[in-house]
Amino acid sequence: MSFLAIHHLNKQFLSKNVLSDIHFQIEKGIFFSLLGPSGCGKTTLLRLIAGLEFADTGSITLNGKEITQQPPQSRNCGIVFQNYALFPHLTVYENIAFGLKLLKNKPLEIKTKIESVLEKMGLSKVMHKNVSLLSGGEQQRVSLARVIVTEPELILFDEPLSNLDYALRLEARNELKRLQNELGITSVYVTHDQSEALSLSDQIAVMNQGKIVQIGNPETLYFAPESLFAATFIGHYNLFDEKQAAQIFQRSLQVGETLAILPEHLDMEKTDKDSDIMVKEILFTGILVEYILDYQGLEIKVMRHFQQHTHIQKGDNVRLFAAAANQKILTK
Amino acid sequence: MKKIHFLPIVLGFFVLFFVVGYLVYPLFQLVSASFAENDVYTQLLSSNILRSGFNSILLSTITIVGCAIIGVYFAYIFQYTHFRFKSFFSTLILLPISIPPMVGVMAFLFLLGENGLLSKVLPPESFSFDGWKAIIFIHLYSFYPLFFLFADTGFKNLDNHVIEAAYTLGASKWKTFYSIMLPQIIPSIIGASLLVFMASMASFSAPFIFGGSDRFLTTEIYYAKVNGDYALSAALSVLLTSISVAFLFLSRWYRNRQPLQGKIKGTGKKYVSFDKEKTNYFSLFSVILFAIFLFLPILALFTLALLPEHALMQSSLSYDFSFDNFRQLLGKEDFLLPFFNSLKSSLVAIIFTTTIAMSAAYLLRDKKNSVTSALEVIISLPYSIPGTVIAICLIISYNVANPFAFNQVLVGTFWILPIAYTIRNLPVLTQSLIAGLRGIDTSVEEAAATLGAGKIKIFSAITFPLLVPSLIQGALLVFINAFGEFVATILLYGVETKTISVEIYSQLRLDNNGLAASYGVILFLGVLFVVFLSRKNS
Repeated sequence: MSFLAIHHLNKQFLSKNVLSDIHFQIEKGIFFSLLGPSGCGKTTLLRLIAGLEFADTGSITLNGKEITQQPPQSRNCGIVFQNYALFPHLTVYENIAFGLKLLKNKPLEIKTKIESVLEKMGLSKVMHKNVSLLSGGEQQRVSLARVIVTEPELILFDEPLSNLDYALRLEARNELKRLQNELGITSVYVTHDQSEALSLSDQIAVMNQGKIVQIGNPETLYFAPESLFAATFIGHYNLFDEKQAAQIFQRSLQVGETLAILPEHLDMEKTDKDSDIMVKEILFTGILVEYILDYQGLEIKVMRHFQQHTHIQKGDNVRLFAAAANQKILTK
Repeated sequence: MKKIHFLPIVLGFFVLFFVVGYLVYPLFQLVSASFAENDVYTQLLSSNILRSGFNSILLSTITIVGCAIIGVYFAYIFQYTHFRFKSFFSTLILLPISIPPMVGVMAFLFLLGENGLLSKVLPPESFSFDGWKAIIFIHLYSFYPLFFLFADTGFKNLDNHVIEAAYTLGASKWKTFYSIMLPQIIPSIIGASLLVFMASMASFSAPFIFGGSDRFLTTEIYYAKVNGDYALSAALSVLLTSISVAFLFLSRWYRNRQPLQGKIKGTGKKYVSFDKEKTNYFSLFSVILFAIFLFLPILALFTLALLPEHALMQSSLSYDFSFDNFRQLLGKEDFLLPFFNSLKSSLVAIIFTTTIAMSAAYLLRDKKNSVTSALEVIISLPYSIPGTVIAICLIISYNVANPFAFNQVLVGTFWILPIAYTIRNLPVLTQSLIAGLRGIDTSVEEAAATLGAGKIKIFSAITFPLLVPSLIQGALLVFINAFGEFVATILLYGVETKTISVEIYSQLRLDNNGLAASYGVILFLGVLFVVFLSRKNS
């Protein structure tokens, strides 16, 4: 029996499908991500699970209880918002105590619980500060602490790291992973950042235009995408049509098929002979070097470890190779 | 050597002349007049005057509480519930703003007064509408829109996600309202309370007409002046103004005491809900009921204007509507006089107020030094000075020839009315023009300067044209406030300078309800039209 079951959800707005036939199950303790571009319906789906909006058809079951029509107050789902949504007139302590008091905990119990969560999140020093005086990273942790302390059955995350700067975001991501492992609370995490989804999740559902395109673990989605959308959105695969595949890789495709190859699975070799593939740009990003090649207007990306970054220069003509096992054939 | 600029000096002289002559000097005269007789301040301790002070404060407190409940309730349901014709109702709910005080009082008199329309339907013994009950009723009707507007802005600035966070943590709608939403809109509520307190303390028309034996500070000042006791009316004015100003400082202090609110760092995208909104019938029902309540006095006013004169004298009404009252009103020359007086004094007030406010705003725009900050404080003073007090100040200062009036006596002339209206409107207009000027990107003017334009050229070709919309808005606002002004006018008018509001009052005293109502309809429609213009302009 699955812990959270989403059963054929549909939602329309002004006769446009915001969500169509969303159907999946999540096991208990899993970290599950909804990954997709903005406007794909992932946040709406999260709000449906939280009870902040309601589906037209379909049902949601949480821990054996059907909650489709229940108000947010009685669902026992905590939500961490993108903008944290802290209560701006209250202190850190009061923010965290808000949910606990509603659960009719004893005052002493409340105090112990809050102190333990503050300790765990490294917020003890700021507990009596007004939340509006905290740094972005601290505010983000308060919003998470406020939810964790009520011990919800399910935590919902709505892009909680997107307002942090890069270094802090990586740190917060590791912290989140550690906490989730420690607490084991089932989580649904909405993001448009594929590296965030890959690094945090046990399972990912890729969404596009109100539909779920593919569900799987990070490795499967990365190495075995089932659609053009999943391939480009997650792995940034290079796509080649029938003609290009034949000319570059001498590979013949059926009508409607596309050849997809990851940038890091492409090999290249400098050639003196006239080749149609030219190095347009070389971007050094640290451990990886990104080559942008041009083939008759088609942009091809090649990713190399910096140690392999040797003799090829901008303007060089190159030939491309890829091992047969790394050549994926996609049909949709 | 620093170049001396001609423009600021001329503007400065102009502003100073008005501010000193018509604000500082009259206030000084008021205070000294109050000390002219030795025992006048001990008179204030007499029981009936203490009683009137207590009455004024109690009335203002009740008004604030009542208006807060009405204003916050409607702001909440307009923001957070869904019902049909919302935009229509949101315009209608601001209707009382367009009703001049004397017209509102008269409308309630016609609807609920002793011989009012309701007494023709219900047995007169079953209800009574006078004294405290009537005054509170009219205050709630007139002043709740301030709370509605402030609370509406407060709710609009709330982050919807914060409310949703409270819901998901298990808080009910009611719990979320009072422990999450209400504390966050407290600054708005204090702002509105301040305005309503001052408006209520300064309120004259309702206590004057319905007060009966219950005295209030404003009516005490009026009766002292009418009895020729200038010293007492001056002392009462000092008392009333002190209470108003004290409250102003109290609320400023409270606002500063609040912890410094930083910003919550994360700013999320605005999420638009895809849920189909369900009509909230409770909201719809309460809005419809309230709309009827808003409309009834206006309906009574129009009914009386269209019924034959003395129709209320009959025990039962015969509904033979006609335009007889209006025909009579337009026919005779002296019936038209009040109309032209109101129009003339409003237009002169517009010219005075806009030129002085414009000059003051230009001077106060960016330079912060002790002179300009003092000027800013002085110009904002009339904000908390009741209209009655402004009138007393002017009477005391200008009932003799005075250099500030080019050695003329102003009391009894036409000019005293637009001057009073100018003083009353100066703070609001100056503040909004300063805001308008600060909104103009200074780099535009600097660009003009680098292209070789002088100060006067920059002002006339760049700054002034950019300010025209705010100026028009300000001019319309002055008209709305001045056209139906009653509080100061009743103390300042002469036989030849009666305005519509004063004429309404005299006709009411003569029991010419039909004529009074017709004037009221003209006044109401005139102000409504200008409110409509200012909505279009903004």
